[in-house]
Amino acid sequence: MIENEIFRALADPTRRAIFEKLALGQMNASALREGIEISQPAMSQHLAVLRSAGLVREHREGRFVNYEVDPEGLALIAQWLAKYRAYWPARMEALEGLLKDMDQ
Amino acid sequence: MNDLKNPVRHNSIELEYHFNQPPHKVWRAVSTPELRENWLPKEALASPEAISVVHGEEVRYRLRDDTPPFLESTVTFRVLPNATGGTSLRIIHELDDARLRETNKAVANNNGLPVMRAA
Repeated sequence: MIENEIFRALADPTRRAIFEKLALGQMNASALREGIEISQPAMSQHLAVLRSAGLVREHREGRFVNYEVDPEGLALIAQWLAKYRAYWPARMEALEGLLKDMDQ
Repeated sequence: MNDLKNPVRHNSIELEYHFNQPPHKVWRAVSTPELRENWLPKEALASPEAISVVHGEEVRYRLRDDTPPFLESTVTFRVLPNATGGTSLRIIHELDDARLRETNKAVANNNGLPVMRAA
């Protein structure tokens, strides 16, 4: 289930930091490591997890590889839709309860 | 209360609910902060203040997810009288987080919602 994958990918604080950094714009793995104290293999592993969750993708320019937030954003959108489709019916039940309690 | 339709756009949710209570009452419940707090707590909101209000008709709030990556979105509540003296409440919830908007043309182009009336 892709939603679980997204959740798992972003539950890790380092991966969340990487994702937030990429949200500002694409960059390569060494630029990404600035300010995040991890080894290059660890960074590669984190990027692989973010990629398989559909959150991040590779963007190759010649022999350079940049990473960016998946421009389709489909995984995020799917997760968002699923969450709020369940959220609003529950909120509306609460609203109905409130309306019954209100005087006027 | 019943959920009449649930058309889902690419990046938005549109719902319509019907309540037996009259529109002015539903309006108070959706637009008065102390009442709104009972069914839509401020923790769900990016800001407890409405971002726009057309009195008696429409109120919009900014929402922020409570889980990473904390996506932001805009919800519009439209309050309309229905044929039986009750209220139709329309919820239009758009995912318009800047991080998606900047990188995703499809999302930006799919915000094909009705143009808001000027306040």
